[in-house]
Amino acid sequence: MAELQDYSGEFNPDLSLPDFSKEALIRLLVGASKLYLGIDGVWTGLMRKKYGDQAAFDYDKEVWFSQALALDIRRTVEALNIRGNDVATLFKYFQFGPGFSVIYVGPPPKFEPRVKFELKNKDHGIMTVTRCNSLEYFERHRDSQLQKLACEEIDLPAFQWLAEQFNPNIEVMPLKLPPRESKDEIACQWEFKLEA
Amino acid sequence: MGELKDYSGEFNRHFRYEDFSKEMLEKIICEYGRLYELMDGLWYTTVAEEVGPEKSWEFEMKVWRRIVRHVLGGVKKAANIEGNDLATMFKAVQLDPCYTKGLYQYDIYIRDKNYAIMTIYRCPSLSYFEKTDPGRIKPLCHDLEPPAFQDYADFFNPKIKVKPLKLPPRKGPDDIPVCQWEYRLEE
Repeated sequence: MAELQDYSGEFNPDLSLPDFSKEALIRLLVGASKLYLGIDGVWTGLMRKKYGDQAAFDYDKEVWFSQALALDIRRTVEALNIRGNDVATLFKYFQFGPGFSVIYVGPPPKFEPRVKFELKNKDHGIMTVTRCNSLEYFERHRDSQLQKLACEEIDLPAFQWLAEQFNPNIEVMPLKLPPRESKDEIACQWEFKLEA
Repeated sequence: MGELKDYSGEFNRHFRYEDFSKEMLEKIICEYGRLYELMDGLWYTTVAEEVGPEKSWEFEMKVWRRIVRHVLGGVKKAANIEGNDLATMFKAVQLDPCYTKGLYQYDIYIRDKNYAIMTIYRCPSLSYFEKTDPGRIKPLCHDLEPPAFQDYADFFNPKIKVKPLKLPPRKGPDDIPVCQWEYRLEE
């Protein structure tokens, strides 16, 4: 059977994902990744409405730091057989981070990555988010509170926490964070360094 | 370069998802489906610790009824699914990340354009609650799922009516299927 480019054809009761082309699978991969972050967003939104920003943001941080990030790493690295404890290994995980790089890609068929990784050596690298859907959402809705929560109160400690799960000696330094003055600027940039 | 079966090799700065095999992409889509359900479970538990399980369950109901349009809207767009009949709805169900390989075991039987049955043989949520918190089975299976299944149908066609034919609790682990649903498209 020829590869399916989409599912506009007949219903197939025995359908399996490898029936699709890679391009279609990557579209589904991006969609699944968006849902993972999306359900977190739906909960946060309900909590904001009911209990206010601070309580909602506290819940969100607890969810991520109590177990979500650990599950995120474990399930991703096990599925991909990613092993190691240097910055290169951490970057491999980031490239498949379900709430992160997978969402930040350009349109099909190229799915150009919008998170760029520059490895100076296996223990030192720079990660640049050239376009960030979340930041664009915050800017569009002028929601500076949520932007501060995401970029400073979650991402900053989260990147450090994630790095430490691979190696406690990896130091994370934000080189640039939002807010930004123009949409032409990159969204954020981070340095990861494994200290001897 | 050959297709990557996993990412155990060197870091690739010029990484593309298309570098990976289709089997690898399938595996990671399934993992994201699990993470998506786990994320919801973590939220429920975190909020329940503060406001109690009953109140947290009210939010849980709202979340699953709100997420439907995101799930189905995303799948429709990604897979170019158009239509408003039973087969169209089930095509989207097959691609819901929760229903991808390994998490649920199910069968969809479309008898004709107006009648179908979906049978679920394995449900990870039910298995989990049977072991850890049987008190949550009834709220999940009787209070949340029937309207949520109807929401899925309504997204495609409000004339599709969903009725549970069998719901938990089960008599035991051999009591299979765990649940069964009838779909009728009213003319």
